[in-house]
Amino acid sequence: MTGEGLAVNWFKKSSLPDTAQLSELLQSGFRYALSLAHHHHDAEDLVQQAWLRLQRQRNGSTPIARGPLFKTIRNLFIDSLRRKGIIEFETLEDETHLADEHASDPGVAGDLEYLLGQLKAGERELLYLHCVEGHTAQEISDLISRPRGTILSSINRAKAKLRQLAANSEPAEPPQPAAKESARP
Amino acid sequence: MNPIDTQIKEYYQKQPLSEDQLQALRPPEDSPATRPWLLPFAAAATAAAVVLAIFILKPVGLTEAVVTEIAKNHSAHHPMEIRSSDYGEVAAALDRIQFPLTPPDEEFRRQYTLVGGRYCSIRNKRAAQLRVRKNSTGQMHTLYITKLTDELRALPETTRTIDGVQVRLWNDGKCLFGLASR
Repeated sequence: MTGEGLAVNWFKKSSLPDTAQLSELLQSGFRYALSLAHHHHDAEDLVQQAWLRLQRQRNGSTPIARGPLFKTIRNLFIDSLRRKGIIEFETLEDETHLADEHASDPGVAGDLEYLLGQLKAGERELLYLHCVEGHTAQEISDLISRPRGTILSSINRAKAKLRQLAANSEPAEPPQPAAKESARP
Repeated sequence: MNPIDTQIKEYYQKQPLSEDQLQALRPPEDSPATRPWLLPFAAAATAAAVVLAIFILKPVGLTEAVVTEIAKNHSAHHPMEIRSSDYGEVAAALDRIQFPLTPPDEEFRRQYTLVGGRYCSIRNKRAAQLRVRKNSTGQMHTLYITKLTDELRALPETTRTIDGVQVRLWNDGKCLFGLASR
């Protein structure tokens, strides 16, 4: 899948997006924002601000595509962390040790929202781009400007962390709301 | 149990952007911009309407004008200049505001959580546009605050709906407040 896959331009009748296509792009942007912020309203704000910023930049005359939308959402999210003095986002280590991608993958038990909330924003982002958007490590590498090997190992580490968190969570313990987990230091 | 990739995919696919937000971001389906050949007709109709308004119709009432300005601002979804849930932080960031940036009253503070703010204007006077979240519903509202002028002091406490945006106006003797929501 390429970042420019979904071009949107409603100012030229010949290339009017269908409403479903536009909704899909916005929903994708929202879910990507949610993977970063892990907070519904913050994700809404991010996708809205990104969309309006791109519209202003392009003066409504050129298409808005998935790649620029995701990049703008990401930049806005990083800006918001910097304003809050949080620096946890840039934590992917440049290490290329790869876990076995095809190791047994039994899934995790427990409240996935809570478990995802325990991950760092950058880890959730990678899992989202890989598992939901179906991006390859190379495409993710292009999008977030990190080496491909780092992306691969970070994805595997994030999955391992999820499994570990699930294994460690007490079955009787009620899941905690993930509402304010967007920016854990 | 499903593989972890599938679980993550299913989790995110169950998280939709609300229909309100989608509507706000989608361009109007039948906007003139989608039909360029309509623009000359639209311009002519606008000019005729302006002439009518100037020479025939009475001026729009002040209340209507303020409510309309607030509703338009609310629908424009301008990005915030400062994001904070602290009124003091927002006031410090919007330091050109010359009146206290505080919630209208304690009841309002209990019911709404501040999200951030930006500068705006009402009747060409500087105003603060605060985004607040209603705690009971999670819905975003916009609170406008500006200093009362002699003109604005005459506005009655009222609630109007313009283009689907409900606007409540009131004042506390020092500031005018307008709360807008869809």
